[in-house]
Amino acid sequence: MLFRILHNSSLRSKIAMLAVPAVLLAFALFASWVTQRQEQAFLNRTQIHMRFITGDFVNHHLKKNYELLERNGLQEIESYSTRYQEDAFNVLKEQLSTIGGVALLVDVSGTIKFSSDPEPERFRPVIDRVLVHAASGQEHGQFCTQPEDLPLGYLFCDTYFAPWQLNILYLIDRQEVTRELLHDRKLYFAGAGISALLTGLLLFFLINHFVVKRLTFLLGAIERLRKGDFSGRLRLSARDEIGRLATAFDEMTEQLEKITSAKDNFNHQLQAANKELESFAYSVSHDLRAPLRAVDGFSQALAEDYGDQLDVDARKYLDYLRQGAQEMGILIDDLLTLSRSTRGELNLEWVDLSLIARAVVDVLQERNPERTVDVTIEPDLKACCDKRLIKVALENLFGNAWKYTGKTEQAKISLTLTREDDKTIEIAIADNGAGFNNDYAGKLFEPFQRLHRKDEFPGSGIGLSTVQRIINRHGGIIRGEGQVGHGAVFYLKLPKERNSHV
Amino acid sequence: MYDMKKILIVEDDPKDELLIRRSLKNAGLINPIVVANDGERALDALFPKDGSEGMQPALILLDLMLPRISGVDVLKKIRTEKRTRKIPVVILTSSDEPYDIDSCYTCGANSYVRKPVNFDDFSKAVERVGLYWILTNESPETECS
Repeated sequence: MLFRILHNSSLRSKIAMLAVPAVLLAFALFASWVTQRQEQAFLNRTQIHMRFITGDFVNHHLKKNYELLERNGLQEIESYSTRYQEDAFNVLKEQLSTIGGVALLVDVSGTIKFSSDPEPERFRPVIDRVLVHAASGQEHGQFCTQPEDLPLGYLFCDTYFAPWQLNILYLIDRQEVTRELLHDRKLYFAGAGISALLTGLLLFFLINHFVVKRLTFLLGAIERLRKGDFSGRLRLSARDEIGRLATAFDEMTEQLEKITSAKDNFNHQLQAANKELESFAYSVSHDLRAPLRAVDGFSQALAEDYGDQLDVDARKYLDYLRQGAQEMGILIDDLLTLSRSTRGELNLEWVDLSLIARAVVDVLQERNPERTVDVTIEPDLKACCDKRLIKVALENLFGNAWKYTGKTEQAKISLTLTREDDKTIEIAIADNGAGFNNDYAGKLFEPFQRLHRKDEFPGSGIGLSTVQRIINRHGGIIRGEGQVGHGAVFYLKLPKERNSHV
Repeated sequence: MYDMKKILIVEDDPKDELLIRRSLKNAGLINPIVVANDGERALDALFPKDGSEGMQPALILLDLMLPRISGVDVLKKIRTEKRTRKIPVVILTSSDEPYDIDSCYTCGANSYVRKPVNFDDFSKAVERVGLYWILTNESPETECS
């Protein structure tokens, strides 16, 4: 869940979500570690202090009083010793009233002889411990335990005074010791928290300024570039990784701009050349045919109007003249079709190839009503192409099939689907006509290449190269297979979608 | 005497003009023929500048590639004037550019015949034109821009 939110959120909110809490957490951990160390040191110091106080009490006051009694030989007398002990203890009590804590004098039997606290019995567990210690015969010097060992929340210090067989216990409530420290710690935590927050915010703004803003800037530039605006440059002066990225980006943009302008330039030239070619083809179409028309038209007029004045040879020559002019006319037309198939916009639409093929065959049949050809056309073959151009291609292919089956008995021509997937369709136009030698299959689509003699089958040798250009312009593929005397098959692979190539 | 309706041929090539005349004759159309050598003269004949009544031909055979004023412009003018807009116009041209064919029909040509090299075909085309003219003598409404 959190990962998903982080994954989708912006870099800025990621930093805000992670950096600030992370810094806060780090500061909190550090602060708690420091305060723990501080508390420990404070407690240690207090214990040293306690040791000093009890040591002072034993060595100066208790021992002094004992020696005073000893000098007079009164140290064994109970009443004296008790009074002198009490005197010494009162001095200690005086001290405790200012520095805090509880002092106890306990004899070996565990009886509390003096106490600075009105309820000394609550310290019984501590007393028992000390006595166990004494009974085990350990050296009975000064003895302080760690506060954890105590069942009560007290620090304690114990000293044994051998001559009177007295245990001196000094206890201080831990909370009393650390109260001041706790007060300080609250302040400390508050300060640490605020500074952590400030550091987090500072970090956020620094990262925001040095990373996120620049990345956003870079992103904007990339967006402009994507829309085709190559004029923008980042020109970041920074020398860090983002700065280097920006510099590399600027260089890349510059190169792209150069390439694009070169490409535009080339396109302009290409367009101009295309236009020129178009107007050239147009004038060829008009002007080149006019003289031919005159040759053909007047030789026809001559033959018709003055035919009776000419002999057989002269009429034959006139026929040759007309044939030549007409062939030339067909050649010009074919060349024009070839040139037209490579220029102009492709007007792509969803085209029913079967319908076009049927129309093309109908025209062929109309032209040669005497011929009987078995034509089968598979229905509903569709592709994405330019209707006008694909019609020219099918006219050529069916025209060839029609022409090359001219000397075949039981001529057959078929259009069938050979392969189809989501993006392409492959159709085959097959005939059982003259065919061709498969070794020359590669030459089929070269302009003016003919695989048959002109007197066998007439033609300009331009048709198939026109077909190939048309198919190639659609991003399609054409290939031909043939066998001499057994016919030819042409496979056309065409796209079913716009902008897709086979 | 019965006034035969005229045929206006707009054609700049005299050889083509001669062949057209011959084809019309062979097709049996013996109407008087008026020839304009370019677009300007064709417009002069149809719409005289001196204000006199212009020619009212029964059929116009119009070439596209003409000096000065192109065939398409002549066609546009014919189709915008009320008096001439119903005259059948047949385009006779060498061009079979799809663009030319489209623009002629958009501008209200009744028919489009490509001048072929083979004049047998041409004669047949003229026969068809003659038949068309005799049968309909109507011009469609145009949407020429």
